[in-house]
Amino acid sequence: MGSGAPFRGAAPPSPPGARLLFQTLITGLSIGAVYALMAVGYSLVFSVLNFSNFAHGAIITLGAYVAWALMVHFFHIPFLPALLLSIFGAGILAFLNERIAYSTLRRRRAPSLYLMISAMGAAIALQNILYATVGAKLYALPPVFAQDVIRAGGATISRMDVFAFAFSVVAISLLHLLLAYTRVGMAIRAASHDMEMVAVLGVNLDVLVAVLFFIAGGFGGMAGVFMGVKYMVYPSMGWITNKAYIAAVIGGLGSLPGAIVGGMLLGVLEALVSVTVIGSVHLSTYRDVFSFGILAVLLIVRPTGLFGRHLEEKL
Amino acid sequence: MAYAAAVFTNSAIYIIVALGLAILTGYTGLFSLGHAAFMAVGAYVAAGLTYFLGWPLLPALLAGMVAAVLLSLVVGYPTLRAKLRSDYFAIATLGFGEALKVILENLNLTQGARGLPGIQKLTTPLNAAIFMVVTIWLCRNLLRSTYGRRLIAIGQDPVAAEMVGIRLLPYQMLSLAVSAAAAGLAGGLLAHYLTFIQPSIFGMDLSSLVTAGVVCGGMGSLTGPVVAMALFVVVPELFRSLALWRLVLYGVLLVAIMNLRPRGLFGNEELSLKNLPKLFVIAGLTVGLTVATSLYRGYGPVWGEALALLLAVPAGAATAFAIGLAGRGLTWLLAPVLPPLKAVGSRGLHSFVQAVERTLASGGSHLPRPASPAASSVAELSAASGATEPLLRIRGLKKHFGGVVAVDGIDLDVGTGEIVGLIGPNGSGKTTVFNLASGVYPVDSGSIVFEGLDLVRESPTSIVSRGISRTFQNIRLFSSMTALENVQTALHVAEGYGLLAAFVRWPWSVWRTEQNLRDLAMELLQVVGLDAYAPRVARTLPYGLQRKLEIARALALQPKLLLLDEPAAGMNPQEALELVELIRRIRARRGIAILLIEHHMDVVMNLCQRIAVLNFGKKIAEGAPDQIQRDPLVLQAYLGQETPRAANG
Amino acid sequence: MRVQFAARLVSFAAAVVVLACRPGQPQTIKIGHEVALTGPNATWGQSESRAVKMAVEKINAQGGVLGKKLEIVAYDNRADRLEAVNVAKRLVEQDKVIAIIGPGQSGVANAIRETNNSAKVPLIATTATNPKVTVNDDGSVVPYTFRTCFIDPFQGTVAAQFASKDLNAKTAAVLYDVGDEYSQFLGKYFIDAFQKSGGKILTSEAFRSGELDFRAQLGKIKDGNPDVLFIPTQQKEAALAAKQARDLGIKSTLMGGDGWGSPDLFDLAGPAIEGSYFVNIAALEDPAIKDFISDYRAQYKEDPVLPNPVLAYDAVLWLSDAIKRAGTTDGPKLKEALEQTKDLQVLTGKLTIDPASHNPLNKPAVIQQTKDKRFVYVKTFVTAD
Repeated sequence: MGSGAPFRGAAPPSPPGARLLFQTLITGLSIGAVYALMAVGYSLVFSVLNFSNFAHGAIITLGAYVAWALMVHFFHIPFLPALLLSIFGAGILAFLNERIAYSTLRRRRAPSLYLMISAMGAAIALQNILYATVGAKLYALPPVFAQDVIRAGGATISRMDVFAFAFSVVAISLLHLLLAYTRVGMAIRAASHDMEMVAVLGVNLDVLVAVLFFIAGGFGGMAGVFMGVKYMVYPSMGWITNKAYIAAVIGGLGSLPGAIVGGMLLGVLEALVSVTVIGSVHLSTYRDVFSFGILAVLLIVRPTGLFGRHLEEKL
Repeated sequence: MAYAAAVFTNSAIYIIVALGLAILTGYTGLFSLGHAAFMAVGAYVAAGLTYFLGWPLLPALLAGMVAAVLLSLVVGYPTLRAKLRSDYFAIATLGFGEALKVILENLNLTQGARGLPGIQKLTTPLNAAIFMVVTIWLCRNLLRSTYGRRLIAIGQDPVAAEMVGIRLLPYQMLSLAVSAAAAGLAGGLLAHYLTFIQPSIFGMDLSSLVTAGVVCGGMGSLTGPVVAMALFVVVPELFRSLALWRLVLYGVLLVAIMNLRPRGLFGNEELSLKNLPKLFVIAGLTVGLTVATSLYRGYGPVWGEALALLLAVPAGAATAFAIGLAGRGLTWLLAPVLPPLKAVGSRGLHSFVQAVERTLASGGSHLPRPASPAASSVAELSAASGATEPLLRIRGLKKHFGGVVAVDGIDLDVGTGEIVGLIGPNGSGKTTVFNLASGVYPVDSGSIVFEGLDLVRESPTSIVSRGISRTFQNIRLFSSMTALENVQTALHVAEGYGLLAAFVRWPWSVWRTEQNLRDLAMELLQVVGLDAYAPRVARTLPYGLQRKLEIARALALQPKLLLLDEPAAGMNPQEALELVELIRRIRARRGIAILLIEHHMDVVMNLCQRIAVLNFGKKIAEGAPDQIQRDPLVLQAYLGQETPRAANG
Repeated sequence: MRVQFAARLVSFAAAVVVLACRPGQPQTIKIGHEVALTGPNATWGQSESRAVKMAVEKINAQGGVLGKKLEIVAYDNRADRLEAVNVAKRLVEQDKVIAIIGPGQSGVANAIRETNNSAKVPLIATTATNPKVTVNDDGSVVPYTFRTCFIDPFQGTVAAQFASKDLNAKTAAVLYDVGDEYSQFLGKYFIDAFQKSGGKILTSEAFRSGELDFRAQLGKIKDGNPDVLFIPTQQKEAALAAKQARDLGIKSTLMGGDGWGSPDLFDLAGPAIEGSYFVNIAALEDPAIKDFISDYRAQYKEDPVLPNPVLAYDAVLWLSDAIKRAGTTDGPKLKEALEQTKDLQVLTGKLTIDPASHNPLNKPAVIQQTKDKRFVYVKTFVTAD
């Protein structure tokens, strides 16, 4: 047993040329944009409620399935309206998830352990409901931009990637504007410092949390639809959010710029690792070890991440 | 019957993991999102050793456990070291699980992702059962030892645990190591039961199954997870066609239980006469379900579905009912018999232990009983009072939170054996001073000198070891532990026992030390007048008694300075009077200095030799009680702008 | 209250009595079926399941085997190895089957090897093409495992020879799944054969099962601009790889193995997969299986998803023939009968088994092209050396 040497690369090891490097960077950024989008939704909730919504992955998956239902299965709605409807749908689902799984615990000031367990339960339930009802069959969302690619500087990138990137930039900018200039945004920012005070000042916490989850869910739905178009739609696609959690920690839990930077950084680093060959070992197959390694190093060296805040518990 | 044996072996294996996870999550409060990874380590190491090197089962399993423990330390140390939020720990375990899977998938020795078939089937129902029983016994011993109490304390309230001198990191890592060892053992047994392992077995589904078992069984119990895990293995076997919904059910159960009944099936309780009927009811329902489904399956195709149902349902119900009844009958039978039996048994064992001790210790190598903290030397007090240097010397203490300045340059002295009061309106920074002095918050600037040593950069547990202990404004007891156990967590007697002794509950060290601890704790409870309440669970005590318990616990640390944060809050005048007496008694007997935050003015004025008044983070007055009562600044701080009456001195 | 109690007790006692004297079971020969009815391999599995039913119905209509009817006990293993082990244990221990048909995946077959072999229950895999399924590394044969399909060294050679001779490819690259031994080894066999034919392998890149994004690896492949890109994976990964390759502007001809042959390949890949080639075990246009195809179409109103149903049908025929020759369903005797099968007429031709490897001799392979969202037959290869 164990003989019959499994298959290793045939090409000799070589440092990637400049063109390859540039292409890898572009690829990494486009993967990173997806991570960033997922991390934003997660970090947004964390920044205000100080809790890890491990069900975020399930919301992302549901966003993709909503798009599939609208574009393929029940109707044939074109892409842009379907995207917007999926964002909206995912937001509603996230809000419902909060009401069912978290709101009672939040009101009771339950320990964060309870919230995390409830979140994980919701994630497992939602994912497996998909398995049990829709089934494990893979679905593809219809291609949006055909096979059009854009070439720039020797690297190619698909139009879908460019669109997703641009759309994400717009969405995050809108979020920033919301947080910085509207009353709702101000309430959210205040709540991220002191929930109780905000309640005392007359803000309806239930409404605030509902809005928060709706926004986070919307970002999740966005990520889900983009992933569905780029790859495919299947029940366990939510587990890619593990990368999002790591990205969020890299950037600093609770920081939105951190989520974005962390996501992009993780995407680029992963892409670089995937093209590296050391001796005859393809590091591409060790990518996840590498991601965890980054996490471990970070926790030792700078636990609050790149932009994190150092939170002191008030006694 | 081979089928039943297989289900049993499966249950035993999962129960072993659940026990470890119960200790980690249920008792110590750490949420692990990837615990299956430790099972994977145990499985691969054990299987590798038996498969490639022909090792026998037991050493291979032990090697697997050791590997799992070592890896748990690798995961635990970076994440737990910085006292990060539990979210980081959860994410780290998640990442670790994924990383380990990748490593295993790339490991050519074990054929990577396709897995290793052909492992010898060395796990039998018998040895699985033995391992399960041994694990239960070891876990139970751990939880009843000093190590266990500290783990539970950390799970209940990490801040209070530190304030009681328990360093978080070593105990959390111990908890993690124990749970990893259990998972490693279970993984090894699983490998030699399935005879085939591959990395994807040890994924989120497995982790979720075990977590669900622990949560549904009850966090804070061992019996609960055992029962729940057995259910989770047996019941789905009956409903194979609904296999896809099994995981949905686990998820829904987790959400439902957290929201509706967080204590799960058994809450904090272990198996006892009280919940024996409950156990029988659960067993009865399961057996009844089994009977019903097998009848339905057996006769459905022969007699038709409707008729088979007609037979199956009453038969199942009858079985369940009968077993439930048997449970109640058994309880009724055992109730008069069991307590005296237990007493006789334990007395017999104790006499045996003492007899052995006497024969062995005929050379007189008895370990001396340590000095009880209660019987302190008044002589020490007198000697100490000769010192000129104040016990506690705070100079220029400053602390701000963001833009808010909580403490703005405070000087304060407390002499040996003095009772000093610290009063002021709400938000004036009193509790913050306590938090700074006990090491909960880092100091911005200034010095806190205690017995000549600056405490400013010390950890909370080292401050406790220097002799400062405290109570909290909003009582921080370990609510699910008994009053006795609460006090015991704070007893750090020099003569303890090692971890190994704890696991096997070695009579000659553990029993004696436990008895010792019990006695010491009872003495302390007597001091505060709570000895009658020793076996009561802390959260069931009335408010006033809880406060006294907190004081008893703080005293167990043998402090030289006791910081009391609003001990009389919520007390009626009678209780407040008793409290004053208690504090006086404590000071008299032990020579402890006391710094007291209080709003009950009669308590303050009666007790304190000196009072310092804070407002907006600054000290605005200090002096003897009658001075303070008349100080216009103090009145202004409490009452607002000076009223005409105050002008009449 | 007491009446209720008595009634319950009586019914309980009745249940116990009835349980004790269960009626005997009807007389059938039970054959287990390990099949992926849900999951990514479901298209093949469902088709396979139907073909098995068709075969069994036909045999039973002609009187069954040894005077008894055949009964199929099928369980869904979702192509998951652990689930397959559980299923195998149930088939062997609880349902007491005398043989098992399936599975269709090499990894799964390897996983359940210990179970069926230790219970001495013969197993006939349908489309498990990895050599190790029936032959150990030291050359010894796995006693109770057989198969009805060709093996991957052959498949890899066919692909390589087609690429170099028919497509005139001088350079090639490979993208394989390190988590699936089928993929890993098929890739290796392709590389060996392609190099033997005089071609040059520029690079081979790997990814892990379950990953979705191979663009980093494909970027490296694009750099060398190979004539052919060989993707020996299941249809899901092939679709993703094809899409991403085209997105990156890779112009190479794409090629694959029998893992591509599921119709949902077109849904998943879109236009990216058009004009690609892959090796398969059987094709719809093959005249040899014409009758079977038309029967299947008539009964189920759609085309079978090849090659699984054909191979499973063959497996049933093979098994019932072996039972007849052995005169018994006893494990060891049945195994010998299976080993000594010669020139048995099955759907895909004449079946002769090599007793030393439990593999069928002289199995053909077909090349299919993806064209206009259909699999189009290109040519047949015979067993080359």
